[in-house]
Amino acid sequence: MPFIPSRGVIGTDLVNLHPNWKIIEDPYNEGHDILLVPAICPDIAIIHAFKADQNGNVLAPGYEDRMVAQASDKVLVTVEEIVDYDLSEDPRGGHLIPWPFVSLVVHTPKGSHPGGMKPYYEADNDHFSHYMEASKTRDGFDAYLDKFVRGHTEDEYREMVTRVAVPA
Amino acid sequence: MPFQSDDYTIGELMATRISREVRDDTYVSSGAASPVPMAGVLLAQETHAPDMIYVPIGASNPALNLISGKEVFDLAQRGRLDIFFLGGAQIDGHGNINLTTIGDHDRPDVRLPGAAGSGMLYFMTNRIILFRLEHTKRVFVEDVDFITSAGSSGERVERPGGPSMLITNICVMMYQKDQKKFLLESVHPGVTVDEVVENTGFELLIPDEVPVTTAPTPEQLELLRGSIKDRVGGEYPGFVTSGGFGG
Repeated sequence: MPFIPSRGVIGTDLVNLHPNWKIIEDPYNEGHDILLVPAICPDIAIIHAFKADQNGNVLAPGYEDRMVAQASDKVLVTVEEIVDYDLSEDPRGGHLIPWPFVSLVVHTPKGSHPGGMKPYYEADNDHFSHYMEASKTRDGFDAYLDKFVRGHTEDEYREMVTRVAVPA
Repeated sequence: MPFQSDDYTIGELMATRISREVRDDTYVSSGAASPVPMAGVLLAQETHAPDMIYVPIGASNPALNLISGKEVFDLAQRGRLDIFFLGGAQIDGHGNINLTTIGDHDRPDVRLPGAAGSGMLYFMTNRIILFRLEHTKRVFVEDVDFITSAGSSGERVERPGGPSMLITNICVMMYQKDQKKFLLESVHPGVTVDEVVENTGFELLIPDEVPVTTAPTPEQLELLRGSIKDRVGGEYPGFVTSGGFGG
């Protein structure tokens, strides 16, 4: 689909932010305009999902994930767990992204942190609160990055946020 | 003085007023961070609108999460959604709302969550109920910094819907489509018309007589504090623990 028409939006500042959106006369509604939004074709999509199997089939939380995968040239999927059965035969509990749309799978438990990934874990609200407070100043933001991000691997981050209480 | 009552909370008063807007045999939806609209819609469902279909976006309760957000947007574009609820970091006197940026858009003072469908829903839902629990001049401004969605449109725009009611923690206003302005409908108990004017950054229409917002009945409070509280709490636990419901 090269573009999609949408009702509404005309007359908002959103239109000014997107020079590639177009407003044309609606061919089915004479005297009225309609907005056209071109397709987004990402070079790379990064999707965090529930499960992947040995073939690269993925079980994702939302139907949009499959749409994003279809639209993108490369699709990198991080998953909570790798399973030893065929997800295409048993996609219960999620939405299947079949392997032809998947380029790469990385096993990344807690990959949504500090966001939640139901049913695996809830959002870490204490961590969010700490980040919100820290990011109020440049120094606080830098200190946050030094503690949790810069110079740390994914494994080290996971270890920190799952074992150490967020400092008050 | 702000709203005051020993008998019910501001959320209960607003939910009760909202419930009166809900019609039976219609589709109604709400989005993120909308515990008061949810309570109001569920109250309507428990009373005068049993066949209204409530389809909030992104609910965790399977009984409420009936259709996807995309499908709610499709319902609206199809002209079948009767009410949706929107807020706004800023709302101006013409019904324009800002959910995008405060200050200069390219170097904003505050970056807000974004439109999330409001650019379309505001036009295509039959009636939009605007709600805010903060009635101040920083929210209710003369002109929004960024028009995330517009309160009115020109002739060449197909627009069946738009703003209808604006309900806050101190008053209720109704949008007057012909004048593109809000008319003060009622003030909440303990609030004066002067206080509304002092805390509103745009000019609003004020009739000679402004009644007090109708209080919830004991029956309505019983419903709100029973199963409705449980269902709203299932989606918005913070609203319940912070005293959103009384009793």
